[in-house]
Amino acid sequence: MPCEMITLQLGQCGNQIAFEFWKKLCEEHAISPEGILEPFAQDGVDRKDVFFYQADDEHYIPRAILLDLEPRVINTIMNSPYSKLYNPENIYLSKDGGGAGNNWASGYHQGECLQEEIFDIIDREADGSDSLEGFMLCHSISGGTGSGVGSYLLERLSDRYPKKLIETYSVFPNQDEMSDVVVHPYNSLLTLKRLTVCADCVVVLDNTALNRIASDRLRIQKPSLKQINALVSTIMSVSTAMLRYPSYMNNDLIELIAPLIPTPRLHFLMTGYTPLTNDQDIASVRRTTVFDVMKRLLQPKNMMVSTAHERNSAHCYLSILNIIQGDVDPSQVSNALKRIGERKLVQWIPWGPASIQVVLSKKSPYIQTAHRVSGLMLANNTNISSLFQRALEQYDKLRKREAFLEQFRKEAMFQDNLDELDNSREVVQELIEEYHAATTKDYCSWESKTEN
Amino acid sequence: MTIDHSPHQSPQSTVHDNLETVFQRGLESLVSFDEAEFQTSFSPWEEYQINESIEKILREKYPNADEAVSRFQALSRSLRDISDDSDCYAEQLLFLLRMSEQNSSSRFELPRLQENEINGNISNFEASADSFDETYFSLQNWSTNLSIPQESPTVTAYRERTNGSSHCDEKNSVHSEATKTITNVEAVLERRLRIDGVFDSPVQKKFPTHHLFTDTPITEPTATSSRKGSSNKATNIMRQHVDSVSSLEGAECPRPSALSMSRNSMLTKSDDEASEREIMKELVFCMQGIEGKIIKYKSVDEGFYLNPQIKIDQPYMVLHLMELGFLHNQIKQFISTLFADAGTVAQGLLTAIRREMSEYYQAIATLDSQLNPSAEIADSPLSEEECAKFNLPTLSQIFVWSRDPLLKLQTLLDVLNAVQCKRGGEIISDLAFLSYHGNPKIKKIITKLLASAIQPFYKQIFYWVVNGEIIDSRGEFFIQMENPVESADLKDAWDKQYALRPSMIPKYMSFEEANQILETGRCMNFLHNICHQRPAPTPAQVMLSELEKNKWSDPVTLIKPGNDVSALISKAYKEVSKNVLNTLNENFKMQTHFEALRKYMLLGQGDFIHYLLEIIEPDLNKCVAALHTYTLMRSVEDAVFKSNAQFDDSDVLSKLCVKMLVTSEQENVSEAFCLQYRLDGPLNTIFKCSCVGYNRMFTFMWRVKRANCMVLKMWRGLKLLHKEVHRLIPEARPVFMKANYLVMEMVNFIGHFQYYIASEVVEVSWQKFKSELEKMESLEKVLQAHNEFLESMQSSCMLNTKPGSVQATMTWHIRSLLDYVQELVPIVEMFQSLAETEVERRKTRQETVARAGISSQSEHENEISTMKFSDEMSKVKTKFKVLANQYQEKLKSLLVLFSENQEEHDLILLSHRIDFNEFYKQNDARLSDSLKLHKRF
Repeated sequence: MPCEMITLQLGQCGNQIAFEFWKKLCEEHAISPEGILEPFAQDGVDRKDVFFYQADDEHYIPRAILLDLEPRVINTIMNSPYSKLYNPENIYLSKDGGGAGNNWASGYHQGECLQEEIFDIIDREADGSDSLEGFMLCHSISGGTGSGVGSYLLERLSDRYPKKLIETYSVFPNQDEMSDVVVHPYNSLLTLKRLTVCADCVVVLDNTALNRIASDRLRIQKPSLKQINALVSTIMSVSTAMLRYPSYMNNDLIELIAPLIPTPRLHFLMTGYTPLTNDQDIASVRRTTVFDVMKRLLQPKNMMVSTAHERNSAHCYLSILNIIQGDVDPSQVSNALKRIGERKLVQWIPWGPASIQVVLSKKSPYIQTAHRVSGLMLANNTNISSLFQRALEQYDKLRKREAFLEQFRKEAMFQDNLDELDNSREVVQELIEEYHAATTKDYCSWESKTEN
Repeated sequence: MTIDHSPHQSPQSTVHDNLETVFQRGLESLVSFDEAEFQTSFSPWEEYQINESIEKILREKYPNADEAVSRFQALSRSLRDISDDSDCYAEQLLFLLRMSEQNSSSRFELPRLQENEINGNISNFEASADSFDETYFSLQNWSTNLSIPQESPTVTAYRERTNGSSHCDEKNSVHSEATKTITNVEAVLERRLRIDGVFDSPVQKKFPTHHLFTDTPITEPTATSSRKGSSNKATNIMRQHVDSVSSLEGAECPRPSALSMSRNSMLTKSDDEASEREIMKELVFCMQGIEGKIIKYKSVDEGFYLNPQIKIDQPYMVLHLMELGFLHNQIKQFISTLFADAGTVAQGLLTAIRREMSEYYQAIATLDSQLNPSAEIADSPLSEEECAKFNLPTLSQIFVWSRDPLLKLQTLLDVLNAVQCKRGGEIISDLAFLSYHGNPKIKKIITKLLASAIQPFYKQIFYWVVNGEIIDSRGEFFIQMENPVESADLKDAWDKQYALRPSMIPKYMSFEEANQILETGRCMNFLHNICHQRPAPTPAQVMLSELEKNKWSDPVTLIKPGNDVSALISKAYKEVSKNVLNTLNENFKMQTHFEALRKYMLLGQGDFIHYLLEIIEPDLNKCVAALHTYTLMRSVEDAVFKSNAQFDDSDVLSKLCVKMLVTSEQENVSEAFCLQYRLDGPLNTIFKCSCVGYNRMFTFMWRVKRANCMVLKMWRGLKLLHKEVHRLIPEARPVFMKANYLVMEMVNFIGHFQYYIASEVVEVSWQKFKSELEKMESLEKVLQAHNEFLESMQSSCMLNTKPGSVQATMTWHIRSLLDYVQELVPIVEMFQSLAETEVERRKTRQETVARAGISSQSEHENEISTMKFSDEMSKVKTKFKVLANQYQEKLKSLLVLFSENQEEHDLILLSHRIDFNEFYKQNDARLSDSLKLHKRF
């Protein structure tokens, strides 16, 4: 099958969200936790082969590579009903099991050491696919394994598979609570550089916003990790729905993200989902229309990225993609779009055409949902730079004090100097500037200006 | 129906052949027979009776013998031309019949033809009963030729007799000879019975030999009896014959007696004045169209006149009564001339008219017998008192008596006048119209005529509705076969084979009803001949075929709207339509094929199309001649295998193939490539013509899809290039930006345009079609909905535009926009390769510098290379600029066209979406003007 995606799940966070993602996919494709297709789902409506392959005994096996430097999360997975789902050869646990100690440099270094073994697995998976579309990387940017090993893999992957797309689902740390990882600003900054340079598309999953949505919108007092991850898995499954259900348009990842990313570097996407409900209050959801869904998707409170909402800021959308699922009359969409356009609900870039692209996606026939229409928004908004700005500020604070740097200096990369940190800061700074430039009319000549 | 699908075709076709040769020979031997001069005359009616019975026999024996029948008709027409004398003609018909017996007995079963002859002659017996000599002769002639090789003495005697002597004198001898002949017949029949192995003793009884043949209505057509199984057929015929003969025993034939009167006419008074008795006698002749002394005959059109030399007491009464004679002759003439080539409806009408005329004759016969109560008084003149004594009617009484016959004849003539030169449904229309008459007597007469005429008409309808085949040798049915289709080429069999003949639809029948009948038969025909299915007849059809076999009590109700039969027909229509749809769905998977057309021809199976495009991309720029279709076919199979299409029905997948819509050999594959979905069997028959529409849609959507692929490829290429260019060649950044910007614009446009096609055109039309399809009750409706489905898609994609229209300009613009995409590809590729080379060079140089430091020479070389590169870059940039300008110009014009187009709301919405942030609008005066204008209205 064309357009396969290989999922790389790295570190504690990456494995957790990916675990929820696979659970969801199995449910949608009617694949049992053991990988066996349910007898009622043999009709070939969906394309299971994008994310799964079939073993000799017809079992479906995820094209997933599980990697962690400490065994806790992977052990949990292996003790779950889904333990038989994965290819055991694709699960890589570091021998010493010591983890990366929440240190980017340690993770990066370990990644370098393990690269042969890891790429053995990756190459095998890539060879096993017919026409690989790209890689999907799940990780957090603040920890040690996800950020460090992730950064290393990003660099290597874009060297080794330059033609393949790399899409990441990157979890940004929660700003509202004190992190137990004191060096996370360093980790984040270093990872951000790789995400900017090496990745093709980054779906930002902001823990701050996710927690806020869980408590505000879903009225969960203390949202558990599981509940948060359920939200994330929903986003991941809907954003890949187009690849899994064939239709005239958007059958591959590139077609999906090309309109979202008009310029190569501005490839950080935020997401929004509606209707947001938890299992308890399905009944409170009212009847939804396409227009309702689209309108609500544009409301900041449904956005899963915590950005400062300055009313008078010049921040604007470069592009929006709405994936609408459910019972939709295609002729409604145009009118809904027209109404949204007339209301001028959002600000757009002034330097080029920008629009809301709509995709009507099929939905899994095997899952009943309470909502008539649901929608996922993938948006490219310059406002995302405020997230980077915050990371930069936190980094600067630490850096000014030269705090916690000794851990980094232990690793080869930082033994001689801290140039890598400075360089990363530069890249992130430049990224923020480009986002700002994109809000102005003369963005097109911005690059040449900065040169001068 | 000339196409016979029964497996036993060959024996029947030999029958056809035989008959044909028989007729040919018959024609040849006519010349010799012409010499025979018979004074006997066949009236035109009898002629028709013979014609009819021969035809009927042929038809009944050989249900598929229409061709033979029509040949026979043609032959009989030519016969008539050869012999002016209608007597000869009738004679020859009989000869033909005989010839057919003699010639064909050697080749196929004797009994059948004998039976034919018996039937034919018995019909003649009945038909020409009022001139029994002729019938007698024919029967006798037949039996002579059949059983006695030499001419019998009967015929010789007859010849002598006809050479001048009066009928009366010979009457008795003829009678005795007739008896002999009948004995002959009996012998033949007996022989026949033995052949059949049935020996029915009561029938063996001797025929009564003393009976007189008289004017009888044809109570039971031989057709009815012959249908009841073949083994006891002969028995039935005989019985019937006995019945009809014996029941009429004792009745008197008016004509011979009238003839005898005329021969013995005596005038009691002087030549100047005619007595009432004489006048009355002459009137009786006159009423039968025979001239007398007092009442003279002039011509058919001018009728009779009174001999001016003879004085008459009450001329007005006589004149009034003479009208009957005039009418009688007129009607006779009409019958003989107007219906020369009459169809079954006209024949039905004629039968009824003949029946009416028989009644008329009977009435005259009664009158005649009242005028001549006994032989002795007939010969002597009688006074008024004597008349009263014998209770003889007076002229005034006849005058009163004449009211009913007069009305009847007038009505008949009116009817004949109205329907002259008309056929089939036209006649029914007229009769139905005339039947709404205020005078109950007239109404009754016309109703009778209508009842007789309408039966063959409805038989045609029923046969068509039940069997889907037309029985119509004379082209009078309101459904006609326009293009007789060879069974090999069934493609037009649905669309073009049958059509209505509007003039032949009776006026009381609505066009919808006629159309329903057409559709029902067409569906049956479709099921039988194209689907090769023989479903059990539906309940309504069973009832209809029951009706067809039996007579129905009150045929006249048929002309009332909403009658039982029309309700039955419309029920049959519904049932048959359902049957056809069920057959198409269940046996031929119509629904599945619609889905498949949507998936493959309308690119619904996105992954398949995506993969196919990927596989054949390298071949697309080759010219058609350089590539074999089978190479492409292999790619299609590959794409099926690699996509979800593999789960599709193998029946569906086997219909996929590739076609090159080539206009010239030099054309690119990309222009000519078209996927095909080859329907076969019945579905191909009905959906063949939609192929063009699907091809158009496919080519169009394929082109857009391909442009989209190219754009995405460029997007990907530029994204890859970006990293290095950004880092190593800062001066190329503006060029990069330019290229990227143009690609971005294209991504935006094509994305929205594709969404428009996929979701708003195809999906919306498809959903509509699908929901209609679920409710469909007839194939015709399905076809209509399917055509609308295709049409609406094409017009929404602006594919079926008139040259010069706004839509045509739009199509042109869209085409150019897609072409610009293609033009951009090589420029981007050139830019990529230039940049990559330069990146490599700079990387090498950096390494060299790092290793060996800077030398003045290398510095110089570097400068030159850099200069050269920036030259190249500025060239590339210019190219980008030019193309970008053209592209934007076209896009803006297109947006203006879209937003100015007030009729197509969808296009306005599309323009809104493409320019969602009003970027183009703000940068273009035309657009902002047109949008302003748009808002104001």
